[in-house]
Amino acid sequence: MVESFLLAWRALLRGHVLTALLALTALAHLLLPAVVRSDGTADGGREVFLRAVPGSVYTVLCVALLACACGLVARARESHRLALSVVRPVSAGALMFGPLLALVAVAAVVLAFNAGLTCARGGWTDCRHVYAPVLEPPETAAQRMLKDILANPDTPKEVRSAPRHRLLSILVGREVDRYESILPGKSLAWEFPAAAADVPTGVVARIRFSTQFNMRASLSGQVAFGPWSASVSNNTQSVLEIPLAAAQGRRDRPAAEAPKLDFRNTGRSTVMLRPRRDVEVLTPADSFGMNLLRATGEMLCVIAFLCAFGLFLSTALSRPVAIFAALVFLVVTEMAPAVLEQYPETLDLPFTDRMGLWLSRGVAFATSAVSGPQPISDLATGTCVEWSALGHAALVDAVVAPCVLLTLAAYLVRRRAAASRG
Amino acid sequence: MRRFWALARSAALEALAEPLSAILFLVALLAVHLLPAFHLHQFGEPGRLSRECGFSALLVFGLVFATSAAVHSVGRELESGTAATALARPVPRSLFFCAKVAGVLAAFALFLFAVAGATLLSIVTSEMGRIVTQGDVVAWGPGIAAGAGGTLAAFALAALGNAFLRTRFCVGACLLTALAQPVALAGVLFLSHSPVPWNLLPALAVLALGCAAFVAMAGAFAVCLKPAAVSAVLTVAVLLAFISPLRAVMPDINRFWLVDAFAGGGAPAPADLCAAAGAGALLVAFWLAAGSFLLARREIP
Amino acid sequence: MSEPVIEIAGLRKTFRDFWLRPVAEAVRGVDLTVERGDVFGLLGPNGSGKSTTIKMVLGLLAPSGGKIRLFGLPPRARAARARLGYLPELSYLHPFLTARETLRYYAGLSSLGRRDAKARTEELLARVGLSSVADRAVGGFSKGMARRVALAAALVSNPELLILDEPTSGLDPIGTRDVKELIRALAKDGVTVLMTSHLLADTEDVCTKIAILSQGRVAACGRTTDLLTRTQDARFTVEGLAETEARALADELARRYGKPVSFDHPSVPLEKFFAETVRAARG
Repeated sequence: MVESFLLAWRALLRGHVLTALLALTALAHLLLPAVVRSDGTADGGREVFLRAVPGSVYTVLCVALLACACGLVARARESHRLALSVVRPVSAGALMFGPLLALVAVAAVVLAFNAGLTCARGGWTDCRHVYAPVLEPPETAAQRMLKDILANPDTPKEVRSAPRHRLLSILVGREVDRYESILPGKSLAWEFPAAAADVPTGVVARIRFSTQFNMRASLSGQVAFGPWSASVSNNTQSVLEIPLAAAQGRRDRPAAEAPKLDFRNTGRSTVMLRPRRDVEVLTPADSFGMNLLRATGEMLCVIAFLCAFGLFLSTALSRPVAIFAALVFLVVTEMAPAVLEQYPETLDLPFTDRMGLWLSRGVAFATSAVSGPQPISDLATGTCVEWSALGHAALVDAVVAPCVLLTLAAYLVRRRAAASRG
Repeated sequence: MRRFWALARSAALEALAEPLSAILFLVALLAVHLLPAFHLHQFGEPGRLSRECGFSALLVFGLVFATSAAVHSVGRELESGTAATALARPVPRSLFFCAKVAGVLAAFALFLFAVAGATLLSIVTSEMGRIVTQGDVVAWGPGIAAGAGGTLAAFALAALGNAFLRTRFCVGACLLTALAQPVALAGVLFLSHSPVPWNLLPALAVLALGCAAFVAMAGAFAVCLKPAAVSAVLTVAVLLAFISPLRAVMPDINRFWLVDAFAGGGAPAPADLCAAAGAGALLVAFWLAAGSFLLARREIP
Repeated sequence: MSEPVIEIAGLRKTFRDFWLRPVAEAVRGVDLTVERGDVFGLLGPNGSGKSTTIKMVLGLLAPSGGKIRLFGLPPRARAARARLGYLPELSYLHPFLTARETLRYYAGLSSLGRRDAKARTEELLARVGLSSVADRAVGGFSKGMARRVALAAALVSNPELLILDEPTSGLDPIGTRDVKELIRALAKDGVTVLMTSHLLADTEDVCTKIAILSQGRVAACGRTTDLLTRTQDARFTVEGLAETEARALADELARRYGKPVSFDHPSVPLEKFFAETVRAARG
């Protein structure tokens, strides 16, 4: 494995791939900040910079290394050099893992350079943990709703006769987007994980309120969470970040009790929100540098997966076809979650659209290793990339998936005739 | 002239013989044909999605097809030494370069022909859907069956040709799928008598001219750079083309992208079409001259 | 009888197209045995199945029928691959690696330890005369230099079986002679060599056994001396004999035995003459 790693590393180094990527990274940091525009605020400037500069470097790195991976084995096979390696007493797996490590090493160097340049810019703010309310899984809620619907004698016949899995799928979608109303003078509370309240200070509630008819209704209310509280007064339809301060008269929560975020509507309009999407508690995490380190780790894991996929394709296909297939994979990876987000399933959906949704679901599931981690988005919004998320990405994207893909690739290398007729 | 045709013909056949070409033909045409089925995305006009997808297919898949073919035809031949064999004969280098690019452009013209046919058929199919839609009953079936079915049948026919007549599968598939499009369109028109937006064709041709400028550029770069480097340079060039800081030599995609003028039953002004076509032709000529110049100065080991 | 290194029985290979129709029957029932210490030449015109047979022996192509055993093992067994070295028809080197890195790479793939790999690399670079250019990228090498690197790469693992496909192609006469001497030396050390060549003189010089393939079948096989020697004829070489004396001797022999007798003057092989001339010119 060391030899095939060194071989691929030298190919990438002496083929000027690493140099070109480093030069592109430096250029992106030099030129892009002058081209992209933010909303004028410091936060907006930081977000736009992170999405435009490290985001572009990450995208270019993904595409470039995927293309390189697609070429590595295919070119070795087409130039007959693979035959010279496979006649040696070395396993095909070792021949596959070496190039993967080399590609990941190149990615690590470029990402480290990118992170260094980003950090050197300065003026960054610390990241924050983001907690969602502890709610029952949407599937459980959907099961309950379905039971109620089927028990109701007024339920239309076409609903009763629809396949159960379709009904459940529709209800899960509805449950995720379900609105709860808070009438004037009333309050609503959501439980949060205990860790969300285990900080001395700096807790922020992030809530997006809506109203049913008036898009810009004024809103006023009181938010309380553990020993902290704050008053809120604003228009609806925008995401509000409400800093919570220690409130007089509020007692500390007993250790056994889960902390609750409580909102009391003191205005005159009924406000609405989706608990699964619109309510979050933010608490201070650690420095931007540490978050960048974890985000870089996540990027590296995704690139490891992409490179393994490219190597797998290059054992089975010719170079141009492998590169085309890989790029199609990248495009559908980006498209499938957007389709699912925009077009929820309904009972009256025509067959073709239903097939499209099923296809999108399949693609989204198959490509979740790539589309799941959102390191750039998390960095830009100041969300802490959790160690657990990094661990999951490392396990799935950098270990399990590459092992499976490269084992298949090794099998193909062994099975395929490694020489042409002659 | 005979040498020019011989070189151009071999370049065109080589471009079509690549497996990637057949895949690009198939993916682009199926994408255009299947679109009318997705009635959720009509953007207020039944044919709009089909129209825009047709133009996008020409731009995206066409660019990938033609530029990779140009890089292969010029760059790889220089690398592998086959160009040296040809240039050892009394063939001027400028003729060699122009013939190679012309051959690739001929293959690209076939792609344009196929995509144009598919786009017209897809728009007609969408219009048929609007006319006949009653409740959930839609009339896209015949159009989609003719378009997608015709494309797949062309591939099957190419496979049969390969099996029994030993013809080259990829070349046969590309040629037959291109031929299948007007045949399918004629069949659908025979059934429905829907109006065909023929005025789309000049706009498609203008976009193809913009792409042709990139093809000539790819060929010119392939003379002096390695294929991987040409791909990187071209990617940057295409990105720059959308923001067009170098309008004189870089094809400005926005200038050739006239599809927006068709929104709401409109059409691009003839003056715009002529100006864009002229700009495209000039850019192609510029890059052909640049490529010939570079090849004349290049040492061929 | 010594231990067989390669056993081939009833070997067949049919190339098929996408539709699985036979396109070419390259090998049609080849039976061969190569024993330890043999320098075995596989000869034949173009398309006779030599390279296909070698690629099946190496496990690069799967046979359509028949059996191959390398050291008693299937060709794809790692233990078998650990004991062989292979020089392909064209050198197929990684152009961005130096000669030293190329040898280290293949030494590493052959599971040689770091220290052994280093020593073996230096020894082989000296042996093929490339020590002075060991740190130059092989992409810039001439065809002959690249061939030497490829030969050294084949030898880097101290193989017991060396498979050489056209070992002298691209080499100048001196390089060709060096390679032949190297093969002889390896054979003396007990290395078994299986080689193909179009240059019959080279094969004749080094091979102890040969097989001639024609249209995928073995047309002749055996010890080189047995196949080439005409035991019913005899030739004498007498040093310092003038033309008239030689003619008189021939007449005398013809008269005595009543059979036609011919004589000629021995000539130096061109290869030997070339080497002596070049050496003399270099001083």
